[in-house]
Amino acid sequence: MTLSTMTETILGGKRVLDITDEKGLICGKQLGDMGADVIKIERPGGDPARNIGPFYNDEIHPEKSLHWFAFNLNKRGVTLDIENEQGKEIFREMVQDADFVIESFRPGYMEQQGLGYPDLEKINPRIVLVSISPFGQTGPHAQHKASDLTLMSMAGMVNLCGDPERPPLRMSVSQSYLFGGALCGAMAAHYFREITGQGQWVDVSIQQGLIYLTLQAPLMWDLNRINMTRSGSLARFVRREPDGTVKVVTGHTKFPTKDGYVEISLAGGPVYGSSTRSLFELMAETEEIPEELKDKEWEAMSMATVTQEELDSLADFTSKYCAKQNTMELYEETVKRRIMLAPQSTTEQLLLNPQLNARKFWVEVEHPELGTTITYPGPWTRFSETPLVFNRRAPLIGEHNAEIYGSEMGMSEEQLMTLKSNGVI
Amino acid sequence: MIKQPFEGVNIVDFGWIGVGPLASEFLANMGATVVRVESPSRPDPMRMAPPFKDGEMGINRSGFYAQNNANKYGVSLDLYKPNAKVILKRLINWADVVTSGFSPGAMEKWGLSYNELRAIKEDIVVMATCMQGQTGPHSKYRGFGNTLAAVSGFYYITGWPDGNPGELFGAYTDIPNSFYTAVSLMAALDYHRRTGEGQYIDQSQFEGSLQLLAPEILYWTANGRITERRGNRDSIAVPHGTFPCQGTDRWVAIAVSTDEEWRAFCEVIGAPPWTKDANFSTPELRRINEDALEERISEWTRNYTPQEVMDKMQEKGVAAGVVQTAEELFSDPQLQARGHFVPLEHTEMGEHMYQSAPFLLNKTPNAFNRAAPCIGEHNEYVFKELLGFSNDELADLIADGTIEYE
Repeated sequence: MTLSTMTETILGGKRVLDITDEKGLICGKQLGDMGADVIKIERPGGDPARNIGPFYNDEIHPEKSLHWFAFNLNKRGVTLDIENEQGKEIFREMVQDADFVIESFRPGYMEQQGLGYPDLEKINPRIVLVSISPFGQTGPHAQHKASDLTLMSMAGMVNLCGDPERPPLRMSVSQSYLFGGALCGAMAAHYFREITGQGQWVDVSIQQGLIYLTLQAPLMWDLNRINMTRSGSLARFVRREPDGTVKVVTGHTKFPTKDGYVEISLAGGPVYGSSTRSLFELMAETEEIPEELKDKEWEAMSMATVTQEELDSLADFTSKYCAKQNTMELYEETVKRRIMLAPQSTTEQLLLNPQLNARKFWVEVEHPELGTTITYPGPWTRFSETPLVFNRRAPLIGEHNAEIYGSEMGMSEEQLMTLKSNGVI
Repeated sequence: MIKQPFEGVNIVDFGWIGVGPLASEFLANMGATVVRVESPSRPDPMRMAPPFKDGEMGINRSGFYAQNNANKYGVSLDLYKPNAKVILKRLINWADVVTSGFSPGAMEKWGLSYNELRAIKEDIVVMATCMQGQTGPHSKYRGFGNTLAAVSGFYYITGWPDGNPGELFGAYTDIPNSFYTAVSLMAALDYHRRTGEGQYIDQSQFEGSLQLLAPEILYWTANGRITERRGNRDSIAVPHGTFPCQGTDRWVAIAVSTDEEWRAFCEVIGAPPWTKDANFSTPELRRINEDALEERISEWTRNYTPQEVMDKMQEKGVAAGVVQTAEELFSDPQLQARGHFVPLEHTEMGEHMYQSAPFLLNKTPNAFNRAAPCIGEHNEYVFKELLGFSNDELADLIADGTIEYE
């Protein structure tokens, strides 16, 4: 995929003011992917999120954060101090023509600045204000400090991840802010506004969005009073039997290969049975299949009655087979045979992935200041009539001050100089 | 004047398992009328997935299925019957949106390709979500959100540096993609509202998932470096981890990101002498000596419950959170204040809990009107009231098995 030229987009002509930190950057980025004109407003000197790594060539520098690049694609950038009176005036003026404001300050901060929803609504009744915070704007934890790890913990996800013999854990990189809940709320409010002319306030709780990751775990408690725990690299089949007993069997899902690991959904029944059958047919082409696994009625094998011994024998044989295979070759073969197997991809392997390359997923973005072009992830969805666009790299600090304050808002050069010397921009 | 964003929007939901059904549920909670089409002889596998009410397996007893299908109407059809076309034609005509979550080829097999759907209704929005997209050599890839999480690279970076990859619970990729799919639907509806045009959406859950790894991908494409597993360690915060507390397998998460927070943290734990040890005096040194640091912190946290540690830390402005169990989610005062879990009365399961959206809309709060449908529960309502079939027509369609009952 190359940088797109002018096409019809979903949000062409819509204006977004993005005053978020790392908790909200992706929301503006994705509105930008849909064609909105997103203005990243940073405090003078640059947003603290520019200090988040990794960095280009590992050089710690506010203009070289790869994290910043990734989540500020498709935005223009200005600097503005919204705590300063003049700064507030400029912000209010910008709100008049804006369609969305996205913020992720501590709940209450915007109100203290005189920029809460009631204030913004008076300026522009059509405005959609998206407020992103760890626990939401209301409730006893609204002012709690949080991080990716503490949020994943409070959402019940960390308790379910990791080896039972070791502390519960999160993924090794921050994930909490990236799930799209804020974008979803923003688009719903946008749609309502376009029909009724009324904007509204979208109050996003990161904790609440993350609870969805725990899938059936809350339901296990609600319906069966089973409190699930982490089972490491094992799949744990837990169920409450009608007689009241809790039954747990575990299945292996991770198998080392010659050069990595593969993930296999190794089970029977109507869902997994045909995949497991195909896997054993594949293995039988080069291996001697144990008697008890020959001609097994895979589809009839029920995960509600399966024994631990049965699951263990499947795993033993599979792990011996996988240990002799090359990961990507095995993956190609199993995709053809519709076997539920996956490589544990590294980022290096992702760039070589035949499916992503066939769909021209990757986007090349020029960074003239660095004298280079960097490959980015492409579209998260594909529209036949209104494709996502990838028009510009992340803004430099204050890059569009002159363009936006000057040419678009009509400030003179003297005014800009004064604002600059007063530390407003 | 409409009261909900998607009031008046009609969706025919051929979703499957997780992503598609959850996405259309988000719109159902915001006013869309969603008809979930199912087959009793080939039911959604989620209907067979535990937990079941009272532990008793049954097509209408899975909480897992219910979770993804609140606020929808359920109809049951045998799409292989010749008369299915009669119903589908009227259903498509009624709809603004058709969603599907099958592997590529399934909708085409039933005569429901985009072109065939457009022939019935020209401005239809058609949304297809699947593992790896509708085109390309792996388009028919078969898997779930766990296998896809491995393909996408999430598992490789979950776990301990000395252990196996992949200690991540669940069907990770289902969740971002449910939101992205819901957003895609809203976007296409917006375009339709403006232009009167429908369109086709090809949502690859693989491609959606990679948005969450953008910095790690750039770390490879720009720097040629691979992100590795590092347990709970972080590149900014130190200490950063889960620490043992009073009780069996109880833990608290603590993340100390700034010098100010480090000072507050030391104050909370009573400033024992080791906090003044030169080995822990800067973030760089704390990182070098992180094993020893974690050991000392654990000695302190073991004396308290996770709740006590969280309260003490939060009082001084240190990020800390209980490693909550699923049970605790239901008594979490914050989630209660936000109304996160909503009880609904299910026809066969009775009252049980559903989750609400991760956002509150101040003028159009999400509305929960109905628990998930039993299979075919709303056949009569949908076919008669929404589509206008007569009693006789309905009787014929039931008699020939087109409307399929268990």
